[in-house]
Amino acid sequence: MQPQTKQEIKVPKMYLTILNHLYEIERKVGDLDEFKKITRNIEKIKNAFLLEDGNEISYEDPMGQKFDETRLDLEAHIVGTNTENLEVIDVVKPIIRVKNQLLGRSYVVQRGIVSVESK
Amino acid sequence: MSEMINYGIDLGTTNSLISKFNAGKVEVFKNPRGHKEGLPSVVGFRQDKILVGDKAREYSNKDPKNVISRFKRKMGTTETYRIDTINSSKSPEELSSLVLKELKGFIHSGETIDSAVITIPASFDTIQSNATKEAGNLAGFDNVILLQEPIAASLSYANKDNSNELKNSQWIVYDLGGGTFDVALVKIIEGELTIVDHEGDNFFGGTDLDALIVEHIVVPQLESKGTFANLLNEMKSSTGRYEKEWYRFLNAAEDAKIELSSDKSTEIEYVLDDDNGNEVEGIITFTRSDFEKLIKDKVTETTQMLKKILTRQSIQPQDLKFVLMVGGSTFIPFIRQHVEEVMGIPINTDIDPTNAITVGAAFFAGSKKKETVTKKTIDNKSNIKVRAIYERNSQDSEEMFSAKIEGDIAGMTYRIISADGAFDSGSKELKTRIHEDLPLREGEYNLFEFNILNSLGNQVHHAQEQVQIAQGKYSVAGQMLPEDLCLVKDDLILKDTKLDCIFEQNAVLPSRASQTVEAGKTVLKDSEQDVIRVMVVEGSSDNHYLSNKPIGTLEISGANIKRDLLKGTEIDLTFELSESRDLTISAYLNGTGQEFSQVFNPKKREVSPQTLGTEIIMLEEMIHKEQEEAAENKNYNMEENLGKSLKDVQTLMLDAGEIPEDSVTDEKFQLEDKKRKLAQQVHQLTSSKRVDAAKQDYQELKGSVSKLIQENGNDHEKHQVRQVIGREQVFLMSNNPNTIEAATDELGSIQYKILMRMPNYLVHMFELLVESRVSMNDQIQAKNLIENGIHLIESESWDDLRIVIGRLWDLVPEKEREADGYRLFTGIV
Repeated sequence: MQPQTKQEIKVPKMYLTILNHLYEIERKVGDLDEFKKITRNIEKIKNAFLLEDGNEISYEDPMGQKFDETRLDLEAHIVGTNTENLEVIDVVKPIIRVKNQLLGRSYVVQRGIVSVESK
Repeated sequence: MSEMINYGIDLGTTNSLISKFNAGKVEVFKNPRGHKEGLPSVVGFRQDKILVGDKAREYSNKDPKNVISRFKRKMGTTETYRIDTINSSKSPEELSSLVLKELKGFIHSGETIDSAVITIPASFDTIQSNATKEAGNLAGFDNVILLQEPIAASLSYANKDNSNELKNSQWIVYDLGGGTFDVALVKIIEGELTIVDHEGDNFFGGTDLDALIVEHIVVPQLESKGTFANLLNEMKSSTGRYEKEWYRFLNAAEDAKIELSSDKSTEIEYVLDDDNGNEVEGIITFTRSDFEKLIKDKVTETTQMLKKILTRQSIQPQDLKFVLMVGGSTFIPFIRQHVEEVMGIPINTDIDPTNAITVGAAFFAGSKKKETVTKKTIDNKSNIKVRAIYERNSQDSEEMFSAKIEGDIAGMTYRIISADGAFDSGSKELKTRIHEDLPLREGEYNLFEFNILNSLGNQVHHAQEQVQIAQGKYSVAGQMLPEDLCLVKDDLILKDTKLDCIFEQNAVLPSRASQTVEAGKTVLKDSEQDVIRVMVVEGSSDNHYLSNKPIGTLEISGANIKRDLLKGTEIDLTFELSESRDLTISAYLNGTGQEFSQVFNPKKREVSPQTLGTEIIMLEEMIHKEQEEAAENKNYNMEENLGKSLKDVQTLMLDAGEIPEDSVTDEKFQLEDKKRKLAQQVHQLTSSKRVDAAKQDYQELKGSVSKLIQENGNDHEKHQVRQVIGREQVFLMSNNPNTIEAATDELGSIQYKILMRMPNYLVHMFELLVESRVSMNDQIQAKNLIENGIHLIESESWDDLRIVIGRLWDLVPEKEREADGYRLFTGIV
């Protein structure tokens, strides 16, 4: 078995699945007026993702962010033929991070899966 | 240093892996800059940097003049790749050496390696094999041993548990990976594993199956729902209108394919605008059988190659021991079934198909001695000086890192990588002055590794390997919290209070936390007596709350609420701690829609004589209870010590009773201090009790689960149990009963899952339920279910019996869980 390095924090796959779907729910209902009614529930589900040792797990929406080859937190499909000045235009899966409040540090545990296009 | 080579590398056409043999086991190294074991065998040149792996692959279709893949099969040819960005050419060997150097970086121990076993396809001739050796030499491996991939896979099987006997036999290795397919006949000739024959397709793998799903299932469905002139072409063309959707659906198809390995059907969602701008949305459902029909022709092609080998070698399938399945795509049940049906002999799925080749190579490396070679003069001793200049604290989202390098830097490269796994500068030529913009995460300590590598890809150590930049609130060394801040809750099981840590000791301020609790009792509107207390105390969460310093209590009484707050209603609590340690407690009552908030300043201590009185009574009750228990356990020493504490508490009670509620003297603070010290004394006397009980429960359950799992557990459950046991050093040493109890619960739920599959247990449970039938809620239904259950036991229909048991359980009246006589203190649980 792989020994755990200091960067490696084990996150049960189930958590990632739930957060990916929660992200999708948030995105799908984002434009609807009724959304306000469930904001609190979504926030509560997000807040419930606490791991042992004070680690919090949360997702980050990279939509509209700049992309280049230095971004290890994104797995990108480049749309179009130009590979310069790329920007995220579609998010299939969000970036998921584990943050340790105590240490003031966070780690990427799931890369965001996105499409990027030159702007 | 070991005399053995120990390192095995699967230098694949599409993916490469590295592993190490150590004390009889093989460890496959994870990509530290990714989340998988493998590294895509793709190399890219972008401006002044070299990219290897995932990042290079992303650019491979769109920047083919600078990003090269599938170069392995060109090894040993005169073909070179012209790279526009660097205005020069690279040979396949040079490109492979870059992949090998990148793999060296996976070794987390920091060990420098100069020898490895590298695998090659069965189809490689002598020139191609020598070219692979050359790639290894270019990557700093003085000693390269080559091993054919099917043999490596076979070794992986043979060495698994050291129990697999392969003497006097022959078998097929069927290797279907992400992008290539290979099949080989392996035989033991004069005691040696030899590849007798092989076939393959360099352009067929798992990713082609994903594309089939999009082309033949998704696209026709979309075309039937909306108006699309040429959807597939518009998806696959790099200037096409729907190119974005192609990637989205490929991704969904891969997930669906994986899901179909375990489920009978799957779904793909779609939302897109058609050519007329109308939104087309819905769900495509397809079954495993649809998928199987789709891939049947491609899979048949692979088995035809297999048959070709048999025909050529004039052997019958029965002459083979098995077909060894290798490559991630062999997880697909249809592929397994099809190969088994066509061959009529068992398939072998005993090894992890995703890393079998590197694992086999490492086993081989563990048995091969390093050859003594004349060492090259290049070493990784540091003869360079690095002076780094950068802001340690920043308010910006990006910070410039500069460094001045002195010494012999010819052929060296550098690379800066963030510890959070979000940034990689790529490999760049090391110059006397370098500059790099580093992205910073808001409000975090941002750590980066600044690595310098020599021309062989080995790390050159220097004094500035770690770059630390604090962004935002940490720019001024943030004040740390001296002790835990905890929320006091009622513990219905122990009939006492318990502490939940909200902010841990050393948390950097300011900080914020939230928690959802439940009302443990009903608070009636207008009732002054019914109170919910949101109480925060300072001190270790392992203590009893009476031992800790009270920081603030937000009280919500019946007089403050708009309607009755029912037991079980959720209360959302938010705690905000400012830099000057002002604590704001906010509570949102979901039942009434009201929000209450109050700020507490720890410098202004608030002690209510009434609360103090209640707490002293609680302490007295607690000591009585502990005394009784100590007497029962014949722990006379503890009983005596508790007796002394009890006397002090009783004196304290008398003193507290004399203080008026509106007292302005310091006396109430002094008494509160005394109470806390007494509570600490009691806590110290009794703290080991619950921990010991929790440890004993855990050990007992571990014993019974370990036995059960060996006999009846599946691989997944065994893995789960191993994981819990693997962590036991940590939780048992924590001396925190909650942590130990959580691990015990985990084992308990695994045990329950296994038991619920066992007929004996189901029958026993059914019999117990039959015994309690008289108290069941619906007698007619109970009678029918019991009759049905008896019938199911006779016919051994265990799945149905499980359902009947579940329904009978529902008929058992729910026991009142209210703790008898326990007076809720905070009203929150």
